Amino acid sequence: MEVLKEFLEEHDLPRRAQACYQCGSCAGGCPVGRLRWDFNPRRFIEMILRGQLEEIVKDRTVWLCAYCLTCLEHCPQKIEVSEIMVQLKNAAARMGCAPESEAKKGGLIMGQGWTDVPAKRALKKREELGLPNLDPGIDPAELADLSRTLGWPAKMDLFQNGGRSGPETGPGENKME
Amino acid sequence: MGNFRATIEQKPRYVGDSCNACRACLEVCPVNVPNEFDLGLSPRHAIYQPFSQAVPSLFVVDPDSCIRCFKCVDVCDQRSIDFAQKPREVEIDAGAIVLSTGFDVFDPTPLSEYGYGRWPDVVTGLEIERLLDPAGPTKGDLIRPSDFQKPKGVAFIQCAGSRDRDYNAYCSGYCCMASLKAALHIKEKYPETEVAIFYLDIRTPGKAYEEFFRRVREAGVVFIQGKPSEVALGEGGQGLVVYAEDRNLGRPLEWKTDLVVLATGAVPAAGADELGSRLSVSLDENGFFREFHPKLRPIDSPSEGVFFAGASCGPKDIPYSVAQGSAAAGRASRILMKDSLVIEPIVARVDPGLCRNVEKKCGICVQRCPFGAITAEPGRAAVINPAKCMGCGTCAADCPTGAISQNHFRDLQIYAQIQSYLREGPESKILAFMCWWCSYPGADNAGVNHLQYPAVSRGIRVMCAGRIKRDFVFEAFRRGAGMVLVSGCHSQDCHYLTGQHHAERRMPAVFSRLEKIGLSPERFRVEWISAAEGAKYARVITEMDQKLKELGRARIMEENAKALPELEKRLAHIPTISFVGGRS
Repeated sequence: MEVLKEFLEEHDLPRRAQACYQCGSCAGGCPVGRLRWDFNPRRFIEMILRGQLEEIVKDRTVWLCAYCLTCLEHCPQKIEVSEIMVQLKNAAARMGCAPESEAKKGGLIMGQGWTDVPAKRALKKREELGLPNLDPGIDPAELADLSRTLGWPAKMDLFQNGGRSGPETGPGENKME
Repeated sequence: MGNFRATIEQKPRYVGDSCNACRACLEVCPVNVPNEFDLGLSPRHAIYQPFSQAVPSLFVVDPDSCIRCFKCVDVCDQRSIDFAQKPREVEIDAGAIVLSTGFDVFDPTPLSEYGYGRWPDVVTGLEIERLLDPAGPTKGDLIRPSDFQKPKGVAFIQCAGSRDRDYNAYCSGYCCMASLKAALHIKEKYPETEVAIFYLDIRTPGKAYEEFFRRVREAGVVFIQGKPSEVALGEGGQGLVVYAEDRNLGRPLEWKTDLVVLATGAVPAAGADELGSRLSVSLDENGFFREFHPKLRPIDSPSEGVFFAGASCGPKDIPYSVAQGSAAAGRASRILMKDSLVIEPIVARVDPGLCRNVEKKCGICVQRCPFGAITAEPGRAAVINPAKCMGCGTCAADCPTGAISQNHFRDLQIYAQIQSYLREGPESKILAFMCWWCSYPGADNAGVNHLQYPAVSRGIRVMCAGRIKRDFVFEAFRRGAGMVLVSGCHSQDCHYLTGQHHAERRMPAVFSRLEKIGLSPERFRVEWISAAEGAKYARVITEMDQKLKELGRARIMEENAKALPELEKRLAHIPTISFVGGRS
């Protein structure tokens, strides 16, 4: 828990949330919340204020945030709810609580510059419509360089620390081939 | 104070006093424009009565919309209509002024998420008031503006633009009760209507207000805690949907309704700021007039003889406005009932022979005075109006030529106190400068509560920390003081609005100067101590005494000796004052 406490302090988190008066305009406007009632940004803010950090990182619904910024727009107290949600995701990742799918996404981005390989059907459709080929346009060597600069391997380790093994993709490997 | 001249422009009514409000002119006037009193929800003619209970009960002609067909002139039995009337100026000599400029209602159009101005069935609290009024545009029948049908549901949205840092950060206070009243009105008249109130907090602190809130709950109004994020058109453009989080159930909510009422708060009245600036009355952070003291002098302005009533200095409901209006009348009559006024003698005075403003533009004192008591015309010495001066002494402390002195707190009087306290064993003493209202009573509070602290402090009381100039501190060190403390009110509590601020601004330079001339900066301390902070005063003195002992008498005397030539040079103009009857 020390790691997490440090992380929250580093990002000035309890203080940035302190002006919240729990009006719920973030939760009321949240498009994810309309589909999934268990996702509630207001609740996360309150949990930060009450120091329920362990519960936050274990709560998988953190990862449902789509970062659409609607909450940021609505907040009458100018709390950066969406930014706080990103930090909560980072905190969870640092604690090794990130879902495998998220770790996989990270690996894919740094491995090939994509999170999704386009489906064959989609590629065929593009050809039919006369659209240009989808070329990742990223040089594997350049990507490996970027990965090192960003300290990506160490970050991937963090993802894997929690016992949820990430994808095997290492930096520089291009899965497209 | 007691000497105002107001020029009032009286606009022409174009209708004489003989009008008996027979309404014959209304039958013939061909003009129809939106009725301002009904917020544009009904039409009026170019000749009209502003509202049904208007006093005097006379009609008026709106010259902007009138087409000059003069049909009204033809039908008027009383021959009251007179288009030759001209605007008239009236001059009044006034002994006191009451600013009761009221408030404007916040326009919720910028709150685009609630759709005011876009969806016709989104109205404001004031508009629903007109719709429910038996004398209003619908004779009290509740309708929704889009199709004039009776709404099946009404939803109130509280704090529309209030308690919101993008719009009005403050709570207007009256909107909760206004919405509760309208909700109960609807529920009693149309019990089948589904009435919901979306709220952050329901604030009902007035007399019998909480009981009223209970009555509204018992009438079946639904209370949903949560600030709505959006109002949208319902399916197929029918009705409205309020999107919110139902906080008590912890889940998002789509509330279908027919009419949405935005409980909009108060904003400062347009033009009030200009009027205020003519009377040296400043505005607070929200644009309302700033009181002399928000708790202890809520009716008085910093300008003597100018008072506030109603919402001019902040949103208020009816009982509070009535109370404040009566209080303002009382405060004003306190001035008007007397033939002459007795003022405090502690006012500041200018020695015109020394004032720098005669030679070149200065005016520092004018800027320092928060009460608008000082004027400095180009080429002439500054003049202080003793009736407006509150006696803080801030101008005297900052006068670059020493032309200003404050009665009973003249420089020489204060130097005499400094020298007197430091005649014997000065190096073991703490000389404390204190303001009248906070720090001195704070020290008193320590005594009253029997708090122990070393008996080494000697207090010099001034009206305001703003009076304490740097030379007071230097003089204390010249006379060998061990420690010097400057204390005053906390900045938000300053009894002279800005005096503490100026003291705080002056003091940092003292630390660096002391260091330069070889005195340990720890020997000077600046602390803001309120009248209730006896414990803080005791702690500060204890800590200072500890420091004094740590440094040791020898070191202090050595430092003092080293700094003396510099101090003597700086303070050469300050004489050593001889004491009559003092101990030798």
